[in-house]
Amino acid sequence: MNHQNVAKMKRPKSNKAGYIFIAPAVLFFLVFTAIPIVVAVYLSFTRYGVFDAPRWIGLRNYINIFTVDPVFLQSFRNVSVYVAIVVPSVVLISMVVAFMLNNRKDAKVFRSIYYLPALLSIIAASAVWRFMFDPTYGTLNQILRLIGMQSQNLPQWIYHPSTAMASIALMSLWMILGINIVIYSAAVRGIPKEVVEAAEIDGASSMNMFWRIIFPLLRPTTFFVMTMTIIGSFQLYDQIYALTSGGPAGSTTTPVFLIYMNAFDSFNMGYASAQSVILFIVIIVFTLLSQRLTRDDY
Amino acid sequence: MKQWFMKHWRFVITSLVLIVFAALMILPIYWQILISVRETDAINQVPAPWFFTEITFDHFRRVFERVRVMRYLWNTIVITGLVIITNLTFGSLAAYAFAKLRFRFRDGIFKVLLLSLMIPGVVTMLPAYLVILRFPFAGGNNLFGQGGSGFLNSYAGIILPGAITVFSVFFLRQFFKTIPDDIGEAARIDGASEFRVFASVYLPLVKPALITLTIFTFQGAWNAFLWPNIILTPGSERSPLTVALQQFVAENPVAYGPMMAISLIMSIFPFILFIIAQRYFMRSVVTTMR
Repeated sequence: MNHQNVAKMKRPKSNKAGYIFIAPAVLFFLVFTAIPIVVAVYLSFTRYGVFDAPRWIGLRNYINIFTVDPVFLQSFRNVSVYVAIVVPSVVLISMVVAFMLNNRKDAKVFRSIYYLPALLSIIAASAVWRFMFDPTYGTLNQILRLIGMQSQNLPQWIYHPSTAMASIALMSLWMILGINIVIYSAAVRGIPKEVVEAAEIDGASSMNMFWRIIFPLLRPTTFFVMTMTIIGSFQLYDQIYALTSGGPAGSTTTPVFLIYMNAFDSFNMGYASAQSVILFIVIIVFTLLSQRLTRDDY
Repeated sequence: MKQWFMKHWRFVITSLVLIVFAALMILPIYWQILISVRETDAINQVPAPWFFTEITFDHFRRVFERVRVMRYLWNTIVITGLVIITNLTFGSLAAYAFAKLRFRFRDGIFKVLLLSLMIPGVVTMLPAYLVILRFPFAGGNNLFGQGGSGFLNSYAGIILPGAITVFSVFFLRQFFKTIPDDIGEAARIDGASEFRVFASVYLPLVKPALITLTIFTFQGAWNAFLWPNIILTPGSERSPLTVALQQFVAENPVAYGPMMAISLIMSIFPFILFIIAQRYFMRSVVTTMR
């Protein structure tokens, strides 16, 4: 009792002010995050087209997603094509470049240049790459022609099912490399000098140094970059909308693009909610996995 | 010379690799600029010249006159500015309270907020749209959100869901935590109100964090596309540049000249900000890891 009184005297107004200070943030959290999640889960068990009241249909949406309608599973397969290209490339290129930049006086200049593409909005970058990918006038095929590739062999990039997802991956890679180089640079700087010096004294070559020392020591960073890139790729949307609209032949349809189309093009809000709940579970699994891996390792 | 190379070959080769990589990364931006100032006839030339030929500003003139880029640029500036102001103001208020004030349920509430950081935007997107559509007393709606179109097709509809993000609160709280408690006590004893203690004692001490958060928020809001595109009706007067550019591309899929001009106008602001506050950009990237 007495103790409490002392504490109260020390900070008379703390209590009330605290609630007032957090009120706006908590209110916005409730209205735009908490309530929407409950609503999303509820809608996923209904048939709902915005204009009529939602009708409870139990697990029907979920059953349809996994049995009748193959598109949702296809969209995850499309994402895996993207992941298979982007993730290894991002890890390897950013790590090697960060390693090369370490202890260089001009590192800052290079890092800034590599970061430039990340400043563009995806929509602006998509406009730029729409030109790069143009089969006739685009820069990529110009270069291929310069190297001597025959006209009939030139790739159609975003305009052919076999290359469309890879093209999207190429553009994304261009945008995210700079950010990951910055992340890896910070990690490389964190490697104790003594470890590197000891290896140098033992006569390790650069190759050896990279594979035997740098690569293993950067494992937590690599896990972080990998899971972040995978989680990001599940939510691939802007460049799909801007460049391919999910085509050609559905080859670039991603989960989020599909959810968007179901919700706002065909107004199947219930069905789209079920898909977003599944996507949510998939992403949460990866998020928890990444937290496990990054924490336990050090 | 040979001796010098033998001694420095490692440096020379890594430098070459880094320069070639830099050239590849710049290549699309170089072509973006090149095409934006090239005559349409010259753009449709195969093979296209790799250097600046006759420079023209027709594309820029055209997008300012016919596409009304100024209007959309203004929308982007207003939306981005408001989102930054609300996040900094209310984010820092809540962050300060969670870090420095003691009240019941504080840690419980914060834990719930923290959990929600794992939720991807897609999940809340559909219901958030319904919240905007059915917002009471907005856009002709009654108390129950019926009868009108809520905040659809308005600045409010674009801004509200991201106006005070949990991320802002969480991010700033980490910085308030590092400041010792007794700094505020002196002011409190002098009879300063809790708000004064916050605004004039603690807030100035987290200025670097506020700048970093500004960069974060700027990038998110300036580049946002999916949400505004859902909220706005096609061709809306309130479209930000991203939505307007995409609309233009959809209508003129091979008008590369104007396309590059708009995308350049859009990118100039982030580029300038990057030059001014590069340090904070790099910091913002590294802090995402924690």
